Amino acid sequence: MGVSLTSRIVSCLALAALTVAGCGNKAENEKPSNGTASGAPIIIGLDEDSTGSGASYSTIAGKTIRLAIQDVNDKGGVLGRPLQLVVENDESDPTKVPAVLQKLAGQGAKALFLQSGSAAILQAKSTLTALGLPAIAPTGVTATLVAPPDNELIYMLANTTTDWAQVYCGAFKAANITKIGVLTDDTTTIAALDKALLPALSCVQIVATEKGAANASDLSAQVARLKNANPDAVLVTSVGGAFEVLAQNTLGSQMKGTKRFSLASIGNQPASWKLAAPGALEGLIFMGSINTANPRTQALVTLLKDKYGKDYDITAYDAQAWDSVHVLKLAIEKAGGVDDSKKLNEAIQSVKGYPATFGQANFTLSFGADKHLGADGPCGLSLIEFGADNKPKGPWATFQPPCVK
Amino acid sequence: MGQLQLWLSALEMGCFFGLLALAYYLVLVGAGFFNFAIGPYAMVGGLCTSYLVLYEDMNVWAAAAVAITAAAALAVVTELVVVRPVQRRSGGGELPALVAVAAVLFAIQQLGGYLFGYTTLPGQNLLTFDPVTVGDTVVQPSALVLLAFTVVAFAGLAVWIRSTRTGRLLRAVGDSTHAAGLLGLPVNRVRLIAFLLSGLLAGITGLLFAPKAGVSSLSGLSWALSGFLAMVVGGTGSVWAPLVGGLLLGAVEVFVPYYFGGQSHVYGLLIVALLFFALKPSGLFVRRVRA
Amino acid sequence: MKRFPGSFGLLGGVVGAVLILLWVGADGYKQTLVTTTATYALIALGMYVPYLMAGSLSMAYGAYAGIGGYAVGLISTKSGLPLILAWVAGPIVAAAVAVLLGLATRRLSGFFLAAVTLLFGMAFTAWLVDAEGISGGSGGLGSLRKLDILGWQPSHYQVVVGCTVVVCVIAFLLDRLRMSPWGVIVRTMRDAPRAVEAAGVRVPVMNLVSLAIGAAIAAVGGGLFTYSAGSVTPDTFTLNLVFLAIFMPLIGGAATPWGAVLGAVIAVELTLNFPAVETSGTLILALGVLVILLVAPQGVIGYASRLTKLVGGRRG
Repeated sequence: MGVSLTSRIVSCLALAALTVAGCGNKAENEKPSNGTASGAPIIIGLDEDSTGSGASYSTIAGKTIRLAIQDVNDKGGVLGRPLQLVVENDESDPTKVPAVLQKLAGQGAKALFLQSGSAAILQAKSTLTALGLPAIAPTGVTATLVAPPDNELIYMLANTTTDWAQVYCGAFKAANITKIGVLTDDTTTIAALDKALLPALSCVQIVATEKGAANASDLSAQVARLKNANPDAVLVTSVGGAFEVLAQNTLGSQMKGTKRFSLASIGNQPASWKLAAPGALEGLIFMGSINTANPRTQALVTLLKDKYGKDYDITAYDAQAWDSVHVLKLAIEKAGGVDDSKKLNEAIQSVKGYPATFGQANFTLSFGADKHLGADGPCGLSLIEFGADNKPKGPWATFQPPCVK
Repeated sequence: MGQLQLWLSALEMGCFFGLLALAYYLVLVGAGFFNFAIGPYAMVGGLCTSYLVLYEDMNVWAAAAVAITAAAALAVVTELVVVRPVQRRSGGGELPALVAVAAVLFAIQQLGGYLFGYTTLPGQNLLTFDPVTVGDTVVQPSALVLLAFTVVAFAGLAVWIRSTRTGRLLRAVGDSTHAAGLLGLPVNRVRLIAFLLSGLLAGITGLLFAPKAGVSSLSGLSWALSGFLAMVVGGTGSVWAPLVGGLLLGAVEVFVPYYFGGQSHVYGLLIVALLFFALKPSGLFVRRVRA
Repeated sequence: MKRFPGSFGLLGGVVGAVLILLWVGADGYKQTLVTTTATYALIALGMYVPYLMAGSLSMAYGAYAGIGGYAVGLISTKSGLPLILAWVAGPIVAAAVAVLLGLATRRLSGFFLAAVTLLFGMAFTAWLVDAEGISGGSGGLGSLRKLDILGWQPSHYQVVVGCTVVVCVIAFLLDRLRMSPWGVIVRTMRDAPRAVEAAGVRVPVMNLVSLAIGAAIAAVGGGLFTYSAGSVTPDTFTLNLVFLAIFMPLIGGAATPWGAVLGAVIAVELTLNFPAVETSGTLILALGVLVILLVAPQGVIGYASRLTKLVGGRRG
């Protein structure tokens, strides 16, 4: 009797859980409508990690991709045809990526947005080649994503680490910094980034490089080692999130007075700012991409605030997602359709001088057969300083990247 | 100079691991079972509180009460719905229970992500006061609260086990469930109390530790491993053994990377586990049982 | 009439495989689903021998599949050897690592073994990231060569067929192994190790052999995935996958290796090909496993065979 009671409880619990899981799909995944465009829809695939380890940043961009597509459709679509989005989730699990891309292709997608963890995108490259479909990784910054092998069909927008090194070097020179210490996390994304970035920082001496686990609960040992090496400044390279905040909290209390630099991620994650101890981010300088002097950025901010309320903090992820959709729109118009994916790929490569929604006002994106990375010159970047309220205060007064190639 | 800060960090980590290990200890002593779902309970304690405060604008204390209740309820459900039927069916076999608890761990982790989102949320402070300065280092309020709770929890449980009837029953049942059953002791009730207490303890621990580095739905697995290691290192000889194990592990977590750098703590944990499991699987403190 | 042992399972497996291959046809997505399923199935089958026959749960299977994957990657990118050798070298290396880890953990079982092997898997991933010269670091290895067996280059569809054949063959062999005298000893070892030891069987050696076999099978799976996906990174085979592999035999039915295969089909179907629940397939799977554990411990195959017995019994 006890057993049957147990099984009854279990069945009830299971039923309840399944109901929650089945019906509770969150409303934010609404699909864009066709708007005023009326022709046959053009199907675009979105590989979005909405539940895995990359969900924290993928969903920000995914949301803006939908917004941009809605906006395009409302304004008459592409060649009079609406863009239609098909979405699959790979949970940033590389073993699921091939199937997810195949599934998107099977649903008729003619081009893809890859919005997932970088291990997953790396795994995607060979599948893209097999499928022959062009893809854009809107928020990718890891140079290996668009480097050989299998890079014929994959594109990124933002400046990569080579440009970053140039900007950091300018900053270090302007601030009289000759010795830096590096604190880094153990993710695939950052390991690849460090490999490209650190050797390029030849303008300074790297006196110590310390690594911690991305899900670390404590970094005081790493910070103590950095302190022993006595650097003029510390550069934190991480995917952001809890690691970055823990690093800044620890640096802020253990190495007070040492200048701190970071990558872009902390600036793009308003949710993470709340994680920091009061004042822990003050004086931190990060590699931003959002420059409010850019008129296109201002227009996007207005649009986002209309949609999500006054408190919405725009991030580079929003701007890059927006631009990805528009670069693809341009390419489809140039190719005159999407039926020939080879022609579409060449059309992406023929996009030149597209004025970007991020970076400084005259920053543009151009692509080419050997240029799978859109950014033209380093002025897609600007160094932004955090204020005492743990929010970005504005451009760092000491140095800003010049807008020449 | 930096050394004091390191010792403080080791102490904070040690208290956290020790509290998780204490939750393991309760279930192990009371039900003879390693409950790996302790980590996910702690995750629920932390994540649920943060979610309610940030997205439902709840008061911190109310949110904490809900989250701790949820963690304790999960523990009770684990015992009533999963562990008890599975153990009854499999007799003494360890494997079915292990698989069941792995499924519980995985399910809570997925459910946590589904309900509270997959992003890392900042931990909420129950008490806010100015950081305390010790020498040239600063101690955050959250660390002090965790420290105080550790002392209270360990002392309280030590007294409870030694001087209440239920506490003594806990050990009796853990020593020999079969004999206790024959003697007419309320085995099931005692087991349930062990699970309930461990759930409460884990929930509070997760909530108090979350301010340090935030909490996400995936935190549970590594917390479960750390707590398990701390308990094995400490042994079950005394209520205080988990704390000793936790402090030792906290020191490893902080000082191994300090002296060897980088990823060494991953290898360090593996080596500690191999050494202890192979050489001293019963831990540092072993209870002498009269033959 | 004396029945050929294991033929019943084999028949079911082959019929299932043929149906799946007919369903797949030339659809690239479905083909990829099959290769992914085959990978999951092989990892689950790899765990079958030590976990369900010998009763010790090792969670280092992400590492073993990774070794198989990196064998394909390394032979393809860093040597001129025929690629097929990767499926010889990978399983051998994986088996050797499993034996070493098995020796280091020979006194452990249950929770202790699970914890150490879990830590080993994490350390292995960390090592792959660190050992840049061998593993290509965090970017992994990509741009792999195509198979060339004595001048014959299989098409993608033929690879898919090959995957299902490999899974069927291994499941069949394991089923035979399970029923062989060796398998009976191993299974008795799980329930009564002292009795087996007393009968003169060296339990530790048997355990190591079962671990080695399991690791080798998982390495074959890792190699197949890496080949069909075209690349491998340190994070390709995640902990999630290891958890899923523990649950697959339970879903399908733990009594025979075919249950693990069926479980893999269900797991892939649910997490990748179930449109209604695309956001939470893994959650449903996890809850489903709990329900199965509690109300249907024999899994799908257990119920099916009970049903056939019932029907057959009525007829007889």
